[in-house]
Amino acid sequence: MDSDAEIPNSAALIETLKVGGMFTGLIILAITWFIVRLITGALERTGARFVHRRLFLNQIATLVRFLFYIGGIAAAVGASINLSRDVILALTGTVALTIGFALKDLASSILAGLTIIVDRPFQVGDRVKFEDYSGEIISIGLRSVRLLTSDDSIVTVPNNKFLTESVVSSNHGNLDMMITLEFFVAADQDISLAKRIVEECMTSNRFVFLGKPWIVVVNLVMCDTGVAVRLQAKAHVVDVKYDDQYTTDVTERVLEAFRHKGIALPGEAAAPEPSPSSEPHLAVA
Amino acid sequence: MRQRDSEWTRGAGPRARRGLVVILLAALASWSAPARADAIGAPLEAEDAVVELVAQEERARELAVQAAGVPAGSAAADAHFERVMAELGKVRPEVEAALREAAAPADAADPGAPERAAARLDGLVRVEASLDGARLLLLERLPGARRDEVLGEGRAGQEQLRWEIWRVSARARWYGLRRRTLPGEIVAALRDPFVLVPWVARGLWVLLVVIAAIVVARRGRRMLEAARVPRIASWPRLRRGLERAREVLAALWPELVLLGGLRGVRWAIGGGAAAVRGVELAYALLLGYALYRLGLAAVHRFIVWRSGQDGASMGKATDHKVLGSLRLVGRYVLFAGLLLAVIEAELGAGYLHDLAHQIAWAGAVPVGWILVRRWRGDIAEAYLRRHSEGVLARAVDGSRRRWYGLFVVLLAFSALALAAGGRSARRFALGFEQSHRVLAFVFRKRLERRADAIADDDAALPADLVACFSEEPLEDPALGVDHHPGLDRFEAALASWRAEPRLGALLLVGGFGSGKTTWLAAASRKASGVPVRRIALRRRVLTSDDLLAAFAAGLGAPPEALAGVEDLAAWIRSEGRQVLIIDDLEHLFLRGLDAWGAWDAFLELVELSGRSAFWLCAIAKQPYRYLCFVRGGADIFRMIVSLPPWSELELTGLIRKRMAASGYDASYDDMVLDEEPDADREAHVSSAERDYMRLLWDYTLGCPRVALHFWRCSLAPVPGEERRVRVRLFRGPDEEELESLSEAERFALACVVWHDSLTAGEAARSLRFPTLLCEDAMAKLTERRILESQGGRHRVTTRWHSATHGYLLRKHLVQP
Repeated sequence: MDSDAEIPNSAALIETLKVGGMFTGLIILAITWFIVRLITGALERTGARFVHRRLFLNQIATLVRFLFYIGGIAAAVGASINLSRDVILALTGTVALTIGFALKDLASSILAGLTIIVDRPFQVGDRVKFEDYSGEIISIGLRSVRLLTSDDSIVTVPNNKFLTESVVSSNHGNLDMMITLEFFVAADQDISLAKRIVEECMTSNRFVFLGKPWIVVVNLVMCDTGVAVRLQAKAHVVDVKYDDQYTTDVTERVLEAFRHKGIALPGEAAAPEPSPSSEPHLAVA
Repeated sequence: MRQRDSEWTRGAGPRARRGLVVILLAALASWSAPARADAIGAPLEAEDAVVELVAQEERARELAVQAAGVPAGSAAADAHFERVMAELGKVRPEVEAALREAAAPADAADPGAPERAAARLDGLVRVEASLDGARLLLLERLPGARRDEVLGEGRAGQEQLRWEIWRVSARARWYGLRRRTLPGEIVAALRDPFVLVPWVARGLWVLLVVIAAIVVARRGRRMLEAARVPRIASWPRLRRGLERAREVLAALWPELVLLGGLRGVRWAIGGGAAAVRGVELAYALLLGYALYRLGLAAVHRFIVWRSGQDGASMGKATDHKVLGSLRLVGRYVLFAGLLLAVIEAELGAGYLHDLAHQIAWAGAVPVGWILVRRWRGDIAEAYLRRHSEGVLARAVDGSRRRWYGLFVVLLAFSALALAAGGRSARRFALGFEQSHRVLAFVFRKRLERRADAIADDDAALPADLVACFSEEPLEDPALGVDHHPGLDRFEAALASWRAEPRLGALLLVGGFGSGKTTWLAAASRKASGVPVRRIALRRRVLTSDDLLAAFAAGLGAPPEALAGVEDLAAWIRSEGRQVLIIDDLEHLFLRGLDAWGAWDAFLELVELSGRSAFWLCAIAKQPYRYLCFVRGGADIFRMIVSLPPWSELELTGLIRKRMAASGYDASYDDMVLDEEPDADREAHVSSAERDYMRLLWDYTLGCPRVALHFWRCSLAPVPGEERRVRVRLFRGPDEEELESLSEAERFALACVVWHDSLTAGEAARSLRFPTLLCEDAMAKLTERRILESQGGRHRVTTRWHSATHGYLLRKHLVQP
């Protein structure tokens, strides 16, 4: 009796799943993957040559990857499943509900990925801070975004996380990015000389971007040794990939010049307690 | 009309009820009056007529409502149209009878009869108007073939024509009958304060608008002509656009005020009154006239402006002729437009409207004919001026006094119009710099397919020819072109400095090989009557002492002037008024730490001596950009002149001048891409020269020094012809070499470009690289001929300038 009931079910399943079509679907997916690799590879190579257009090309690559994968998956599903009225009804009914519950995170990530593509809170190549992570966006995929952190780790964040959490983009699609460096000197030192040194070290750096303005902000802060003067040097770097080199180069040059000109740091060798807003890894003295 | 009828149709219910009340009152009045015995049946007849009229109005309303819901192009529209026409056929005799009845003399025996007849006539007219509105609506929605039939010359068309003619006559008779009662209605309305007060208020508003329009028309133009667009120095294009807009506004002011005044009057009248048929029609006619005036003035002005742009301004006679032709066309369009507006207002867009439309288009033929006759001679002359040979040219010339010459002239006019359109399209496309670049790219790609069109690197040229294309700054003005942007500003600044004691300082900013030194030489020639001294800073000076030493040596100052900046300034002041020219000002600072001492001392020197000495200084573009980034510019200079890239025409002029000075002829035969033998080869050669100059301009980024270099590379001697050289496509450097540079070499190259010229030691100081690394990088770049070294100073070679600029731009190390 049961076997009699199973025969129509099996027949219905065979009618729904096209066996030959599934093979076609796999081929479509393979071709899609190949085309996406081809196009994104070409765009990456072009980006390496035309650095000033790199982020724009990355953006195109992301968009191409999305469109091709979504199109490829739709074509593969269309080729391998017989989407009759009954199937559609079944999909929208119990089956869809089951799959929906099982894959709701995946579905929401894909939709969130589309939202990221349209809304563009950040792009591939941007320097972002998200929750406890900060680094460069290296890919925006169907399901997740990948970050390359400064310690060379890859962090994979599901796309749907970005719908509810705040994300900070430091360059927002531009190749240049503002970098703020902080230097501390003792309050009784020649502040104008210290400021001039910081200005010259910053503006003469080979990585500094001349297309945007710079500034050095001077203020007083409290540290372990008492009052200190903080000099915040804000300028843009020509390419986000040079941020570490810029930081190192300016810092070395400033410290060297401070020593040479006899400008003392607060408490001699003791480092001041940075203010809560300052970035720990950029505190120099 | 259609709208009005549909509005009437929507309001048919209440109006029908009002009509019914009038008829009933009239019937009752006539029944209650003393009457003869044979008039006893009159109230009963009137009651029947009322019932019948109400039924007709209901039917008409239903048909109109149904017509509004019929889909366009459907068979239902056709069927419904037939039903409406049948109903109109029934109404027509009744309207005729009612018209006769209303026009009949009053009968003493039945005094209420005229009033009853008038009321019945009004009711029937409303029925007819409702049905006619439905007819016009359905006429638009008929299927295409059926519509053509109904608006054609066949039976259906004639039926429509007959109906519309009858409708015109019936309406005219009805208006005539209405006219008898109209004065009484107006007098009654004027006695009603609730009618009179709004009329007076509206009238005052209209008066106010008219007065305002007159004042604005009289004073506004003068104010516009006297007005000046505020100086927006940073947006010259915006300023030019605003200036042009102001001129156009001033020229079209009366016409615009007339148009605005009409709109204002309509607003003042108010929506309700403006919807009255007579007022609406009058407004439409006046609006048509205002648009005619505006269009005429605008087109005339445009034609005059366009002809002026081509450099051949119109004579008075031609201007008069143009205006006359425009008036002819404009008046005809106005007449046709007004006629169509009246027909549409009175009869709607029906058969007669369509007929009038067709006649109006047909009327364009005689107007065109008149225009061609009027301009026949001018067209023939214009064509023969452009094409002196050819079949059409011979036909135009031979048929000037023949009757059929009119047709030939039409052909010539078409050819001229096509050519003018082509020229305008080309001019529009070439208005964008990117179009030039695309054309240059296409030309290069086409040339590259031909191996014989590409120049060899080692073609030996005669020495006298090479000497004429030297890349060094020009000392002999005969070899250059008179292209010194901003030199007039220098002259004005110098004159003003000479007239009164004020600080005189001008900074000239220019890119690599843009002609800064040549510009300074031209400026020194202009400074006649004032001693001119020149200092070329050949090496970098970074401290105050070095600056003093360099300037003292250049100016021949005594040793005591070297004590300090103030002493040198005092010595300069003691020398009297003079012009001091300082070239290569970028050598006074370096992109590094503690590298601004000389620059600061120089600024102090200019400040202290600027009233006695006019400081004319030149600086390279990239260092100036860095100066602006770090110091926000150079405020001590009262005037800054930037040398822009040269245009195609300017580069062409320079190369032609040098070629002419050399005494050699350039042959572009290798550039002619059309392989087929062509009678017009001279035109092709000329076109090839233009294309090649564009290519040169594109590749060299408008830099004259680079253009001269690659022009010289393009030349090769023609065997057997002594004073003739052939022009072939030059070979640019292989840009792949730059892509293979290491990071240190890339930054060393960028550093040279940032400073214009640099030693390895200075590069090491600027980049914070080890000196050995910099020396090695510079040596490699020099070996590849990307850099050249002059006394230890490195700079980019002319050959590699464009490629280097593009490469650093791509790497984001320089900004455009």
